[in-house]
Amino acid sequence: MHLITDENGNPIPHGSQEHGHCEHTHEHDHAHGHDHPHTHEHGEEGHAHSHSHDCGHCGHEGGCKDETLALLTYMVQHNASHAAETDQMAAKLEAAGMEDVAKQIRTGVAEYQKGNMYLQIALSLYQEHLKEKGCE
Amino acid sequence: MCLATVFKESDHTVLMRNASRIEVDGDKVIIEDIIGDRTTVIGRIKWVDLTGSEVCLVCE
Repeated sequence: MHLITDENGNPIPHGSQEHGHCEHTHEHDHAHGHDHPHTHEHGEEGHAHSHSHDCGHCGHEGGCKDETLALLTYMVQHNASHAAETDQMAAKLEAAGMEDVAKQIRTGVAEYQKGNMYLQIALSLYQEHLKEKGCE
Repeated sequence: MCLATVFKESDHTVLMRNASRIEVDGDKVIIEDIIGDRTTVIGRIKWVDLTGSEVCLVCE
C-alpha cells in the first residue's frame, strides 16, 4: 500500500488530490449512525460501499481502502512519534538533574516501543493477508 | 495528535469516527477520515477537545 506521511510521520489519507481520485458529491445509504443530509465523496463515481469492506471488490485505483490497514499503520507511526516525544522529555528531566525520573520514563518508553513492535508485526501480518486476497 | 470523533452538538449524532482532517470552507465543514472518505456538512465548529479527541459541530 502506498503511503504518504506528513512531517510528523502520520499517514495522509488516500483521498488527497495527489492520488488523482475524482471527487463528487452524492448521497448513499450505508450505515453511518446518523440521519441528517450531508454529502459524501468517494474515489469512484456511483460506487457505494461501507468503510470496511472485503478486499478485491472496490476496483479503486491504487489499491483497496482498508480501514484496519490505515488504522494499524497510523497507530504504529503515531506511537513511534509519542515514544520519541516522551524520550525527549526524559532527556530534559535528566538535564534538569532528575535522573531517577528520567530513568523510569526511559524504561516506560522501552516497554512502549516493545508493544509497538508487536503492532508493527501485526501490521505486517495483516498486509500479508491482504496480499493473499489480492488487495495490494 | 490522535484521530477524532466528530459529532453534532444538538443530538450527539456521530458524524465521523477516526477523523484525520477537518476543513472549514465558509459555512461548510468538510471532515475527512483516515481512509480518505469525506463528509461535508453545513455548520460550524463549536469546540475541539484535543486531549479527548472530540470535535463538536453545530449543524443545520
